[in-house]
Amino acid sequence: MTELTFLPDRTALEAVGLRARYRRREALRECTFRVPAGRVCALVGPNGAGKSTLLAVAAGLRRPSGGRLRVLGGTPGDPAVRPRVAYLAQDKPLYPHFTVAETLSMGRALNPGRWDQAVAERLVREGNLSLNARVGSLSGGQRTCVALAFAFGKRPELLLLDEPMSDLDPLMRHGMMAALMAEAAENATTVVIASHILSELEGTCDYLLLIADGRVRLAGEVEDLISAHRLVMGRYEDVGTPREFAAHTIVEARTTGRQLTALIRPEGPISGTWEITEPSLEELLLGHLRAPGAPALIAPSAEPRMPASRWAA
Amino acid sequence: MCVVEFRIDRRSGVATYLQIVHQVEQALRLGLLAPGDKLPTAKEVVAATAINPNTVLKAYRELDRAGLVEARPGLGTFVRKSLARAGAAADSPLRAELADWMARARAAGLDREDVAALVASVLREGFGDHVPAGHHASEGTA
Amino acid sequence: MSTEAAPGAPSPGMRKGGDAEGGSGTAGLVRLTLRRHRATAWAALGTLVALLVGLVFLRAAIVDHVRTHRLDTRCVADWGCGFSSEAANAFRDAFGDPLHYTGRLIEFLPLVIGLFVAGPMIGREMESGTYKLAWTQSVSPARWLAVRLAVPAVAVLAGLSLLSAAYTWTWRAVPVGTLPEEWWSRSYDMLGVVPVAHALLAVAVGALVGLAVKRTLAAMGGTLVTYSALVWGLQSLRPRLTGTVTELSAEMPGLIKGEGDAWIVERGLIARSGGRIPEPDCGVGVEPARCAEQHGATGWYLDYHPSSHLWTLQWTEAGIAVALAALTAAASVWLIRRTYP
Repeated sequence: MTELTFLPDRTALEAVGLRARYRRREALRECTFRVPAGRVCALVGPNGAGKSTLLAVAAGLRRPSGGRLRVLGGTPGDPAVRPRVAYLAQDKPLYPHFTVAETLSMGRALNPGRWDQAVAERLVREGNLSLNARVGSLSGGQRTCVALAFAFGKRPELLLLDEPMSDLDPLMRHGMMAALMAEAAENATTVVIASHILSELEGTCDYLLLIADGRVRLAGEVEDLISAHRLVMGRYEDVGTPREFAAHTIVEARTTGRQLTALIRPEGPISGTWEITEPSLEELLLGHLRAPGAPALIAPSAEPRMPASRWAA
Repeated sequence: MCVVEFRIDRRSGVATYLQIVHQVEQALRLGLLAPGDKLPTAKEVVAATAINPNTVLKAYRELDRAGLVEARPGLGTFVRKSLARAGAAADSPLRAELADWMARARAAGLDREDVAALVASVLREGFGDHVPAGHHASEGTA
Repeated sequence: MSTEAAPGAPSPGMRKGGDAEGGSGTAGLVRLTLRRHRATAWAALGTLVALLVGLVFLRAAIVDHVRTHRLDTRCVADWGCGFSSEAANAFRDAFGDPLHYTGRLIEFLPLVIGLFVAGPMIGREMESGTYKLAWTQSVSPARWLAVRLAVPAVAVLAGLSLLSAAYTWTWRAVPVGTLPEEWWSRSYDMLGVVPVAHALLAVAVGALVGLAVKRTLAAMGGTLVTYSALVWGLQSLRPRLTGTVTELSAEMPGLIKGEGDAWIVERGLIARSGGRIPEPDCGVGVEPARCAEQHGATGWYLDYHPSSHLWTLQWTEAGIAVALAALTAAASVWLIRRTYP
């Protein structure tokens, strides 16, 4: 297995001007992005940024109020798309009176011809759960494990996970994440994980979608996004930002005493005597979250190709 | 059957794929991996470390490009050549010289950090700015 | 909550391994629905069987009593015998209450079924978020709703039809006149096709309200109000569903000969102009003829439905109720299609 799991030309998810509104509030405004197939994409943003709304729209549980969203080349909820997408809601809903085995057999009954009992049972065993346990008697983390097994059993091409790991203990979290990655490796599953636990994402996600206040702020390969930024540190005692930064896009600049720390998108060589490093994923995300006014950065691979994809699978 | 096991440190700041590359290189240098050995599949690595499978594949491609391993479709990724060199062996004259130099540095009152800084700066002079992790890039072109 | 007829096997699909079933997943939805309400389904089946057995015994006892005391012949000959005969009194004491309360139970079953559909079946699923689980599988929300409507509807058709047929059969054995409280016009809601039609309406209303309100208790409250209002509407419409028979007389018409159990719809005076004065105020102790004189009327009229109208009325009302149910069900399918992809 040496080919990459992702297929750069195939699109898992793409949005153009996507909007969604609740009664008063606009949860998504003009979201435009693309996630290529086979990626493990982190969906990051502050609470209330619209992450859950975006996933719910993609899962076919909400209608967008404007714009377009295409999932695996079709509209969300389309009969041709529905069987290929699995979704784990943030509250991990399950029927409490069902046993684990009954929950899985429901998965098979509702996904005829698709369900993979072995995969689902493997994940349940990974969580050290008995098939005869009643779902209502399980702890939050164990329920998450069953819900993940349920989502995996569907053998989806696109797996949408809303805060999947938040109530798992470290061991289970590692186990579930490993199972998730193995699944992605084996079947080239596209995974979109909404999370605000940044450490959970580092190393697991190779694609990033940062949304804040209903808008896309960063989209693209994690590596490209990181290498498009520099963390600049040095001594600086004037007010305002240094003149030599004028040629670059400044995401965020802070002064502590005499020290200036800035996250910038360089447009060329940075002049001056600065200590220049590449930011970590966490530094990149924190910088953008702290600076909501910074211009968005959408990598070429994250730009929608709507017209072409209309005819795709 | 895995010959090596990767240890991924997410806090190190070093890109994950480079950690794998380095660990394979290290294993080749130390003779833990010999030509003909099979590297674990991406799925095996991922199932043990919970990292992104594309990262593993990227590391293997990098190693392939460096000529250290070779991908045989359908079979796996195999070690092609060893990095164990006579000069780096435990009983080589070069190593003895370095040990000798280290003793003199200690005698001159340098502590561990001083020695490390000195070695790092000489390394930079001798091998250029190739600092692992592609991380501490000194000039910032995007 | 007593008419979900056929609960599934105790644990549908506990088989391991192979994925034999293909198709659309509708069968899976049906199994899921039955599994989720397994306890209710069994309880409903138990209640149904108990009521059916009870009614069979009740009828047997009634028939026996009537035969032993020759109530039928005497009461047919003179319908008023029930008020004097000791045998009729004994009959009333023995069977009045069981028949009455079984009847009330059947009358309220449709509402109970509607509340169940609105609350535990749909409202709770929306409230607890488990709908997100069901709706993101290979089956669409509209299909899910269709099954949520169809399962109770089929249960109602099977269970309540049996029950109302059994009740009607038992009720028919009661000699006319012995139990004025169970005359056809008063037992109307428990007889024949009307309870079944009402229950179908209740299922549809419960589903629509549950889907719109998305809260268990609120949905049940909303269903109670909506369904009660609809049934009240149907009941006010009922006398007009087919033409009444009118009797004219100079004296105030009372209980018509041979039609003691007629359903009196309206009584009043006919004015000299030919117009009607319904339910005139006659004052206490005023003779009917004198009352007519006071109002300047030529005589009295009485609009009523004879017992022979029972089935015409029943089928007409059932037709209207089923049409309403279909409209309501269509509305909920429209709602789910509009709200969710």
